[in-house]
Amino acid sequence: MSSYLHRRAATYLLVLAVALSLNFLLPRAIPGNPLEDLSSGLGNLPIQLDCETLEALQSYYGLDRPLLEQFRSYLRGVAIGDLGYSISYRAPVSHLLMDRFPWTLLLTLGSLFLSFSVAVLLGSRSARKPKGEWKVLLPAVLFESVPPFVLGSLLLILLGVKFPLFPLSGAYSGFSESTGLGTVLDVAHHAALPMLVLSTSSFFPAYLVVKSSVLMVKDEPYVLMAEIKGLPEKTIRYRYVLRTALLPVVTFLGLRLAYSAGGAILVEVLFAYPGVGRLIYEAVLSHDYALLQGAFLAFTLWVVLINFVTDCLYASLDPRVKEV
Amino acid sequence: MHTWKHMTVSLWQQSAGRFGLCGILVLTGLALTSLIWSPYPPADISGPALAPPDFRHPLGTNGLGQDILSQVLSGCRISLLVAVTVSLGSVSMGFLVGSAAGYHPRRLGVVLMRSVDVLMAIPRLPLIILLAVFLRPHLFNIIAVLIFLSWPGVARTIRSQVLSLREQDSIRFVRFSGGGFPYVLRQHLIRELFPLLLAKSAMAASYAIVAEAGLSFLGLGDPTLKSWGLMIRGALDYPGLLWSSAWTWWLLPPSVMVSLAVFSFTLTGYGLDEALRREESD
Amino acid sequence: MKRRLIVATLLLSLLLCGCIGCEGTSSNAESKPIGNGGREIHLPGGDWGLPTPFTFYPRGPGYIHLSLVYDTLVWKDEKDTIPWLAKRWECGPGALQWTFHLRPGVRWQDGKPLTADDVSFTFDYLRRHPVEWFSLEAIASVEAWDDHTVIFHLRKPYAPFLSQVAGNVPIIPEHIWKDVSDPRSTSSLNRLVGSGPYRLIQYDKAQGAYAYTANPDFFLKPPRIGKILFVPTGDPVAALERGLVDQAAIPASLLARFSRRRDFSVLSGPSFWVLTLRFNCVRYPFSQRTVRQALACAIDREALIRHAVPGGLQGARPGSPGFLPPDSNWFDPKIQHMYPYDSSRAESVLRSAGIEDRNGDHVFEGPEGTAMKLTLITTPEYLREAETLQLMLGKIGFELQPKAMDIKSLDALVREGRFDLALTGHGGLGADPSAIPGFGADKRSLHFGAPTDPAYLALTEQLMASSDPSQRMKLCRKMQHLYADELPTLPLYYPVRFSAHRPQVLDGWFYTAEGGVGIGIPLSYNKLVFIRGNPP
Repeated sequence: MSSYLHRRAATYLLVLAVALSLNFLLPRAIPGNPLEDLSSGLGNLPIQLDCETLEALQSYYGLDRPLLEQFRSYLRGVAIGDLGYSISYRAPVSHLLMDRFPWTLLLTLGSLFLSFSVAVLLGSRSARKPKGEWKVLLPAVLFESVPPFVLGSLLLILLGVKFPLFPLSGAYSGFSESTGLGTVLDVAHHAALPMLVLSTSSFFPAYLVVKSSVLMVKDEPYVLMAEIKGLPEKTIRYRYVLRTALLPVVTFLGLRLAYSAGGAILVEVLFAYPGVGRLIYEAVLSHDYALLQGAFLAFTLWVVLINFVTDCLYASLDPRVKEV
Repeated sequence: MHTWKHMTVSLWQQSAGRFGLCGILVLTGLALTSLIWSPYPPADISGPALAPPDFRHPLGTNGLGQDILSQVLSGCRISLLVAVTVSLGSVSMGFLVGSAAGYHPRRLGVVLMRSVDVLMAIPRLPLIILLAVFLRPHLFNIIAVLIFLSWPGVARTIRSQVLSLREQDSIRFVRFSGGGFPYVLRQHLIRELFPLLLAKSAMAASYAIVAEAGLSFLGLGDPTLKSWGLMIRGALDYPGLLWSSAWTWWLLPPSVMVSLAVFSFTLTGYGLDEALRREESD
Repeated sequence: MKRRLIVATLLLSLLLCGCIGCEGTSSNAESKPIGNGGREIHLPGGDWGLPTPFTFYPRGPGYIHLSLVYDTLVWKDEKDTIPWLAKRWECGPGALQWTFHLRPGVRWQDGKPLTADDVSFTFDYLRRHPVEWFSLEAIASVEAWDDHTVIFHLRKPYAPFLSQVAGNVPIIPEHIWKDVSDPRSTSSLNRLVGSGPYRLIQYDKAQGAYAYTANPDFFLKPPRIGKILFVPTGDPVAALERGLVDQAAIPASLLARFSRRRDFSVLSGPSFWVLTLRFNCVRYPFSQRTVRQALACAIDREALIRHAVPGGLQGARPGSPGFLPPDSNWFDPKIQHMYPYDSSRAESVLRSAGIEDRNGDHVFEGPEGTAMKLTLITTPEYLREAETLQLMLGKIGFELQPKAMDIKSLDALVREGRFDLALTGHGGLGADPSAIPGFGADKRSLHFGAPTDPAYLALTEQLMASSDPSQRMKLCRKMQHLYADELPTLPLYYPVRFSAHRPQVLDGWFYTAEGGVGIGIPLSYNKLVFIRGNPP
């Protein structure tokens, strides 16, 4: 592994350390007892925590032990995958995350696939014919400007309420007896609107990257050589230009993949989609700190992992990086 | 390209920049007028609940009976405030840190850039949510958090620019003749990087508006200020709103406004980018 | 060519998603439904936990799901407490002993008989693995006298035993749970064996979907509704309109819309929730009782409801200064009109307390000249009420400044006593009055503003201990009078709950007597509705 990758790995380990410390320090830094916070609050049917439950929770959080020891046990827990117990869901945090993660993955991958495919098509076309570009640019920037939850709510009203074409929430219909293709279509039906909304926010940057990358490659001498040789236009376009231009796009895709999971939070909340983003929102609502921190850690881990994989890919594909 | 006049002129020359600039001017105008005059104080209950638009309430009223037009204006003020403060704060901080890192690439630069890398690797929205839960939801806290999360991106770009600028003859002469970092910063770097900083400000501003609206939508924003995100949240929370026609005058105006605001800033940023690129290729 | 490529891309991406997604569905379906006979009903879902006593969520309808699978010793219908697992019961001498005689022939859903050993095991197990929903501190020991008799020995007289314990704690089978060391880690359906009218056959945590099938050997009779499906919905009103569910709660603002339609019936019931105006009794001017009482006369509660609550007087009932709502069995009607709206009376009472307009600026001042300029803190959802109060109190010279903030900050301010007036609300008013937060001897009553007068506290203790119903009623009435006299908070209104349902699927919905299901959940999901089916 080159020194470049070593440095990147060190950075990512530092990131994880920061995230873990944040997770640990934040609830202990605010004034007041976090347990008190759980049971207090002027609101609905209040359930009082009696002495025994309070003591059990107290010893679970280990609030009476010295800070360093608490940190050590926290780290030990994370290392073996114990992210704590969710008070509001009555289940271990890691189980909840595992359950919900595939749905977020579905939305993220699907929307990225959608936006990048369209971006590649339109971006390469704009690079070839820059005249009519504003026809693509204007709606692209417009859609990117509309915040995802705004676009989502408008689509929800139009396509969910006024003309009930799409379901209003969920990832699939409960208790459907269909199997196989029926289930696939059902899931696709439920995922269509959220995926559409998510893809609009990543389309424009992808389009820009594709366009600039294709523009750069177009002026390379070997492309000119191919044109002189008289190769058919389609071959030049796809084999010479697009294949080379896609390298920075792929790395950009990796970056977007890393960060789009966080971006899915708003969409999942709006469409009540059972992913990790919605989980973090519910954790906020119910002051479920263990779940909140677990979800945050999961996001950070995901980002670090994808970033590192992208870096490795980049290093192996681009020889210039190895020398730095 | 290094003076305000030069910038505005070249920006105006392209359609993207033109639209963006117009949009920002309109918004600023609305925000400023709202400071002086507004049909009603935005938190005032001035009419019946969910009243359709009429002469007294040009955009109708919401579920509490508050005038929507006044709230939209107040939201304009808040969004612009957030946009300006966050972009100013993050760009200044990013500029200082990035220049310092680029100018002293050996030790200080390494330390600074490593921290920038770390900050950039932490996912933004989950971190904002985490912080928002533990801090009180005042506007000040939100602005501080947004600045804290936006400056690393600026710093990274500035640093790479400063690294190459550092080797320019004019700068090398200054260094040779004993000019210190503050001097170089004031006299040379600011002027050279000014257009880039402006482009970054525009993008930071548009992100700030989206982020603040998103936070209010999640219920983590300041509940006392009538921002657009809060209005959208209020509309979507009102039971059965989607079945009455009230969503057209309660949900649509803040949605349209927030989109327009982001659109204007993004276009301006894009226009500045294009102008920069054109200048470099000349 | 380009267009075909785009279309192909879109289709491919959708199919891809579907494939990833169906993995998620198949991992959640636990078992196929047993049989398909009988009627089926669809209700709004939501994740409220796996319905065992250790994994259900202690909020909202969590307990409702638990009640479908498990039974308690006694239950409630629309009128009264009725025998359930116990066919009769007695309260022993000094209210320190309760004896329950179990119904013979009750079986668990796996066929084994339910005996008194299961009951004593339940309470023993709950002591070892406490759940905050069940407060068992008053119980010293539980004894299985014979196969069908259980005796509870209490530590001290505990009057609400029937509603808080016997009608609340679900009985769990000893043969299933006796070897379970960590009940909270339960996640499979195999342990879900109860004696109740329904079996859970499917639970999707991520989406909040439940499927129950009727237990044909249920001790009362086989339930008429054969299958209950809680389907995940976004907006319950949307789901109701689109036919995805057959019953849902509706907001008061849509009441007219649903009552007009012939295919829907509308039901209303008390929410046992109150919005109160909280006085800071430690700070001037509200440290003086007469000032608080004067303000009560200055606030026209009916006008407040008409102005601020969607649905007007249909959406909420005016508050009673004795705290308990009119829907409560313990309500004393004489108190309702203790402070009729009378601004001149308010002004004269204030004058006798030394508060009047001394300098002609339309704002009253106290005897030392302190102006009555006060802050009213609230959460943003009650701003309309706050503004209305501002108007009303402004008329009698109190200048109010409403301030909205988030619930945590409001809570902190109230706890630290740094406020003048606060608008807060809470539920749980359907419980036994000795356990109502803000009224009874509940640990958190002080937090909700219950009176601190020692005479009042003595009454709450007596209410908790006494078991003679007529004596309890007298004590409760006295408490309400004391409350109305002290007025630490002024209850403003009690919201009304509405729900709409399709009568051809299931009619006969009702709101449970004495405060709601179990310890006071004000929902209409009493299992009797599903057992009885449609009325003849």
